[in-house]
Amino acid sequence: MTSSDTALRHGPRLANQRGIVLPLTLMIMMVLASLTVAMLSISGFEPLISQNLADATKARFAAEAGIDAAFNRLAGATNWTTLLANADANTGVLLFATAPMGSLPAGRGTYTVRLRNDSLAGDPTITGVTADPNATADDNGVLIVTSTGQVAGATKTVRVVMKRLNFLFPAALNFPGNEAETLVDTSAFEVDGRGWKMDGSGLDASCAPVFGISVSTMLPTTNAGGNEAVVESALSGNQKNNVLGKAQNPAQAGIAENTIAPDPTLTPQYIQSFIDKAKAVADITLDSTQANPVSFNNIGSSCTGDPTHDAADGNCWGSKNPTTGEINPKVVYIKGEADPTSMFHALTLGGTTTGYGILIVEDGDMIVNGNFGWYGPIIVTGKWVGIGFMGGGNQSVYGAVISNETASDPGFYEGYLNGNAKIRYSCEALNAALNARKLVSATNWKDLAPGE
Amino acid sequence: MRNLVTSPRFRALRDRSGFTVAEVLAAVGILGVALGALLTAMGWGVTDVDAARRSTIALFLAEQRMEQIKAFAMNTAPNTGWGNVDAAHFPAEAYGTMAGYGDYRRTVVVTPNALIPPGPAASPFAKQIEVWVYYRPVKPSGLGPETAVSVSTVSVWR
Repeated sequence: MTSSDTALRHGPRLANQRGIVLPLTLMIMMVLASLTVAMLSISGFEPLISQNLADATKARFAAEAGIDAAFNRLAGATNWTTLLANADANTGVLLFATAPMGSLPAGRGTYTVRLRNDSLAGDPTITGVTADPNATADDNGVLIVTSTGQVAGATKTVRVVMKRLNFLFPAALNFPGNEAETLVDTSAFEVDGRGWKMDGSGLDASCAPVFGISVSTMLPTTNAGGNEAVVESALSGNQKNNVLGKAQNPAQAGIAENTIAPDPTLTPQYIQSFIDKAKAVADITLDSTQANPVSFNNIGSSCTGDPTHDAADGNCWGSKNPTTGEINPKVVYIKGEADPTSMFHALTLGGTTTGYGILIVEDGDMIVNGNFGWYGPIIVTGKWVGIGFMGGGNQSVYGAVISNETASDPGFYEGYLNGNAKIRYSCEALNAALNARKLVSATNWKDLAPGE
Repeated sequence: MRNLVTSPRFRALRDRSGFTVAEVLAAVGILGVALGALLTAMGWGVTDVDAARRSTIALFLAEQRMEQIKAFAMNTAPNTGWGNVDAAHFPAEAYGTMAGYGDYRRTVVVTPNALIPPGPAASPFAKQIEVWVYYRPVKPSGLGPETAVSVSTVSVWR
């Protein structure tokens, strides 16, 4: 058989191909329709994907709003332990539940915030510090905050570590340095380590007492702890009775020699570490030189209690809102210069001075004249330094005072008290000052995966 | 070999020619209608994709502005910082003013003394911040009405 015969053998099949174009057309149409449907399906998802992305982004900003709200709550709390009541070690406590963002409707996003203490074994890897032993007591000024933002069906969870700069004061008046030479020219003074309410209305039962006066346990190096005797010998019998606080010997009353004690808390490294961190975020930093020493009258008279106004007012060294009672503390740092004659006053205050926060004077004396009220810690530190309450008005400190002499200057005073100076230890004032917003930080941010 | 032209089978092949023209006409008609419908559907798809693209760009522009505000709030340089987060420092950006994104405009709404828990109560430490980005999506008939994407948060003074 030839090839032509083979071709003709397919003749009947060719004849049966009538109408083949139509089926082919339908087939092509079906293929095209399938492709179109597939493309439509894919393109139909695009707006959904975009919407999901938008919801997730909005949820993240809602979660960040929750972190900011938590920061605000913690910065306004004088004691973080009070926020941890009944806290579970793993889940902590609920701080805010489904809170809207400001005045916006809930549909624009809500946040839920939980708070827990860093008491789990693995927490040091998150916080970078040693864990607290108890889930309901904050000892190290570190908490872990988890905020979940929600918008439509999207949720985002952010975890941060909240830290506050912690500092312990073992006494109302502290001489942790090389020397503790003290001169008291009055019998109307008061140094009280019992915890006072910062409005002066009485003792604060929630504030554990500390010593009236503390000195270093390891300084001076030639006579470790010897400054206790230096302070005690500077006070007459009657004057000693004006020193109150925690009893060195619990069997006896916390007064006079029994509340003037050496304490190991305030080491040079501990103080320097705190000062370095505090001055780095100081609201007010002033350089004081022997040629141009810093001197002010009536600090605080321009404060209004409005934090926005007071934050920008250099003559307002922290304030208290007269309506809400909210305290807006500041960190004030005065940098002096070392003067071996010890005559240099790095800071002199007069008139009527009121301040809230942390006042640090380095390398120079601090001299207080006139009326003076400070709520928080005062730290005078460096070489040839001292603090003098010179009288001439009502002078009080609610918080604690540190005079830390790092030089060796026999004959120059580290502390001078005259008039009716009162140094009253106050947990309330110290906590409020240490909650200066700049001393509270939100670190180690992490977006948590679902279930993490 | 046989003469193919005169063979019965070849005559049968010749008989098909008239039907093919009709078929082709029908096929072209069907294909035309079908392709028209398909092209219309594809237009919808393209519109959807473009709407998603514009929406996503608007979201990124909003996110970008919000992050700029947050960074500004943390800045310590003069005339910056949280206290200066306001409409004056973040003015409205009109169409054609954002380089590369002329089809979008952007506004920032800052509400001081924002409500914040517990309470909630108005706090001088809190600001409510909204970033809005507006654009006009492409519709099959041309540009559609202006629409917007927004992101919001609350920022507190630190």
